[in-house]
Amino acid sequence: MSETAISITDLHFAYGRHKILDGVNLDVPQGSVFGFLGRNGAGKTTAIQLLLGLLAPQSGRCSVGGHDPQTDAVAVRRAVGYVAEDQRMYDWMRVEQILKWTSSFYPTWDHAYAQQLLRQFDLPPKGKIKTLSKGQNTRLALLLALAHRPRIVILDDPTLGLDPIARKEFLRSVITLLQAQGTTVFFSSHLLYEIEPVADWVAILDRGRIVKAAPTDELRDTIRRFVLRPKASMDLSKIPGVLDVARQDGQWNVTVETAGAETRAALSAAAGDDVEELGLNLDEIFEAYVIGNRGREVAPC
Amino acid sequence: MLKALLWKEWQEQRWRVALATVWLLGMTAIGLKTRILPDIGVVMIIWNPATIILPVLLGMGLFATERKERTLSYLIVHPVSRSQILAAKVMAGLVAYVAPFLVCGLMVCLAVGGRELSTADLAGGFVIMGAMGIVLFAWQLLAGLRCRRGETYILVSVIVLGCWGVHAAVVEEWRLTENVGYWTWALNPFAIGNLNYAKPSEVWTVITLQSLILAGLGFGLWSRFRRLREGRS
Amino acid sequence: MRPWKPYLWKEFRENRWFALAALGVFLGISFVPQIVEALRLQQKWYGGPGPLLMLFLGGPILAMVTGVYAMGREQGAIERFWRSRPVNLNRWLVIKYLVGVSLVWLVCWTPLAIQILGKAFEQPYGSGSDRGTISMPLVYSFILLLIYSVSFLLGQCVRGVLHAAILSVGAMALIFIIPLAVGPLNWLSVETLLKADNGTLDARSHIIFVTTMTAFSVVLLGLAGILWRRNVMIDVDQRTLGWSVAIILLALAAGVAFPIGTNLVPTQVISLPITGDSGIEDLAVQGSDILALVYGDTALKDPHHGFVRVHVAEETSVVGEPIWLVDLDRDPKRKSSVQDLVWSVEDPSLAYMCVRQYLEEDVTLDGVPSVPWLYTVALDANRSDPIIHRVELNPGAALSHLTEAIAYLHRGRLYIRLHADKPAGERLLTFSLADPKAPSLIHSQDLVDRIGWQQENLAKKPAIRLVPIPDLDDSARLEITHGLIHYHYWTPTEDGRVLVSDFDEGTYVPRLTLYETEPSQDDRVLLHPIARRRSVALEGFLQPWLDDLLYSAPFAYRMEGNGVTAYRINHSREIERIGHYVTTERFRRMVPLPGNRLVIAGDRLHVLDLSKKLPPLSVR
Repeated sequence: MSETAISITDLHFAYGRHKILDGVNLDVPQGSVFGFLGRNGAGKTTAIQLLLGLLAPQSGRCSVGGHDPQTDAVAVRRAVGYVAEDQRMYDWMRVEQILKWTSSFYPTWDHAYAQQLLRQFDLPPKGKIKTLSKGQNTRLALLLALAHRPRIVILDDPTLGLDPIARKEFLRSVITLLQAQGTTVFFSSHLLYEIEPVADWVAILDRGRIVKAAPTDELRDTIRRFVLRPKASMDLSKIPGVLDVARQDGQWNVTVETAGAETRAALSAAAGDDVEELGLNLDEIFEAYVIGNRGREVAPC
Repeated sequence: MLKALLWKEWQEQRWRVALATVWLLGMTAIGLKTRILPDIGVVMIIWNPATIILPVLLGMGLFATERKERTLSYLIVHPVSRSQILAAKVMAGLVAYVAPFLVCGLMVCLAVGGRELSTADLAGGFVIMGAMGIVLFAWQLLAGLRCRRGETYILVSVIVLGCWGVHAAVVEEWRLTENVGYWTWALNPFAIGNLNYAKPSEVWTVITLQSLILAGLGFGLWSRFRRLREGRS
Repeated sequence: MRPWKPYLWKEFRENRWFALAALGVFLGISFVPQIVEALRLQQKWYGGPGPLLMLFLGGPILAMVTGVYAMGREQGAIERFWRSRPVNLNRWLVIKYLVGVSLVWLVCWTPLAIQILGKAFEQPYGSGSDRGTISMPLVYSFILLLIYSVSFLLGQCVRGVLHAAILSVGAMALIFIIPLAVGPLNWLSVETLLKADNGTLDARSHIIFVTTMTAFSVVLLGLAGILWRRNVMIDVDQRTLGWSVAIILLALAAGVAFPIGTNLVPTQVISLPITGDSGIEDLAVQGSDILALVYGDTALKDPHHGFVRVHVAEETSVVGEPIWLVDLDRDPKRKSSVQDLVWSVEDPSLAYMCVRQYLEEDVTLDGVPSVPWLYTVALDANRSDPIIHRVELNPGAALSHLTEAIAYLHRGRLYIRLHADKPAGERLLTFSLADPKAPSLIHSQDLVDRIGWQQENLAKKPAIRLVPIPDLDDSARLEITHGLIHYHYWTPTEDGRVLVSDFDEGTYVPRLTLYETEPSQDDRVLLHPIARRRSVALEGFLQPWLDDLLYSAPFAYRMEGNGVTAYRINHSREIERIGHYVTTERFRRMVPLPGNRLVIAGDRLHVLDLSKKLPPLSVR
């Protein structure tokens, strides 16, 4: 069995002339909780639909659970549990009806497990879907995605519309449950603070490309911010690996991708010993990658 | 899996089937009982429009409503091929369309068969109208597959009907059947409802052409549905 | 900016493209076919029935769509935007309403205006008067106003434009159908329209109609305003809408159909022993015996006239063998047209036929010279040629282009009326039946005036010109006059009364009128109406033409194409509709039988029994 649950190689996709994905490369390790980050409209949902075989790429390859979505879409969907963003189900069905109906499509459906999840998620079996609240709807969608014991679960911004408490509860309970089972969770969101506590890996999608993909801890360890006090003739654009430079309260905040020896030497040369080093959270790391100016807009002092 | 899909489609369509059957049966019963027109007049006035309107209403529920409700994207995410989804929808649509004809046709034949028209003539009339409606149904499904709203689907269906109406007028006005050939008229779905049984060659021309057209429409529907982009929620 | 200007500007901006598109469609459909014809035939391009037809057919659809979208497009998020602004809702509603009305009328009337200004206005059915030129479209415009107002209200209070549109179509059907079916409401639509078309709608009626329609519309607008201010919205899902519309339409259909539908069931339907493209041309009756003149194929496969006798008992009938008149159709070039059939009372084995014979090659658009004959026929199947006597009725061909030769038997005398069109003329022949097998002419008289119904115009009293037979009383002369008329839309009843089937003044709604007669003067009897029954407008549309009228106390029968309507004239002189009978067969003749029965000749003989429909205290 491959150690990679999901593999994307040089994937290109466009709607007409509008490029959405421009050479995406990504490998999702098996058993990981993989956070797929990007701004609104970055192409996260499109990438997920390509993985499920709902769209056809212009070029590139994907593999999900060892299956090619373009040639074996049904096998992919059978192996994957998917919760879409703002998932709409059949309003007229009752909860027990949709369970029974969905089970017809999955040979590995575990009815006992489904009932267990039904109790755990506190869903009314005889209730009509149109009467469920937003949170119940999301939990039902998750139940339908998990009950057939998939090896891979793909969640496309599943907490959209939930209040902060509900989001936290969802993530904690679900992700913990799935992690314990060794299921690969591919989880897309633009709310970084909720991914950070649970994700093992993170990939950042920006302008159709993956700008960074790494384990979360590694990201936090390697991406650092240095606070400098202004000095005459300081040229910050020459510092290698700079992601962002911002001026704040008379100080310069320089965010670098790798705080290696060369970078530190460059910083010392620019600012002397008056340099403070800070760690960043995922939010700040994401911001640096996506909207960082790479030092280009900074004029030498 | 097909069974599950058919069950779902039937659950969604059954109220339309019940409504159409009750309404058509009621109107036919009123017309045949009161006899303000001869039996043939009652059947034509009620069932000819039904042949045209029923496919529009049923087709709207098969695709346009699902797209508007965004449940089609939910459906195609399931591990089932699009061919099976389409097959289930088409089968359910056909059953929903044929059921009122069957029920009402049977009732009418039992009630008034032999009164003014023979039972065979009545039954044959319903079969002909049903066949015409099925072809129109296929045209409307193909044209309206990408509609995201019921109103748009109705508009597209009306345009399809209008086009065939214009075709019929052009064939009539320019006498294409005489100048070019009978096949020019046989292409039109309405030709099914105007068969001249005294000329078997014309009947066979219509049957053959319409069968080929139906097969082509089915292929076109499958081809379009396969490529339908419904992944975006 | 004045308070009303922003609303007007917004409505104009939202409606302008739709208005232009609708105008384009109306003008295009109205004039493009005419332009094509005009280029070919060098005539006015703006003539033709297009504009009026677009008003009638396209107008309701335009009114419905405009009304629904006027308010429907304000639903949803945009409504929340407006409600959160300091907007005068009443002012906005009224301006929106008026803009929509203006749009509908402008689009509908522009093609008409072009025609009227170019003096090329043309009624599509050629039946209108000069006054109907403006009157009918004007009246119809206010029906469109009502449709628009209903659609406006529905567009405002029903969530979902499609649902509102469907309900509007249903409302439109109610607006057109209810006044057709409910007599007292006829004036709300079709009756007023038809009177306007004929120019018989006076100014007062115009004002009443316009005021009523406007009042209804104002009420609907007011209701829309109230509902809008209170933010009342009706959620109708597809299922509810579908069932609601279905139930309404079923109820409407039942309500319309049952009162005018058929409830008469034949006790017998008798097939005659004739085959191929055959039919029953005429009937004569004596007691329960019917003599049917048939035209059909014989075993020799040549078309021939013949007779079939049928005895119609209460529940069964006995059908005789056909007696074919071989001689009548022997010469293939000489055509025979049987005009009338009379069955001898004195000798039931004899019948008399008036036949016109002509050569096919002489037929022209102006008519055909024909030779009328009186044949005496022996109804004896054993004869090789049943025609035992022949008399030429027009020796010297004084009436060259004969169109009618009608006979009537009365107390041993056979009266025959000959009528010609070119030149116009009528002649009354009287035959003696002293020898029934050989009628002899005893009197021939040219009639100066045509006998039968006379009414110079609607303002004058109707009258009947009687046959000039001095030795008979009015009642007998009335009976004979009726018998000598081919097309019966009036019939003598009893006690000197006459029942007439005609049409309402200015409309095409049929009615039955019972008249009293005055003693004749100069062979004319004047008529005074004493009872009238007006049909429902829908009946008039479904049974537009009259084929025959027959009275057999206490019932009257009106034959229309393939249907017969039965009426009962009560002692109170009330004319009551009893029922209707219809089939696919084209009815040609009907004759009464004893016991309140009626025989109708179509492709077969249909026997109706109305004895159970007698009034409670009546004993027959």
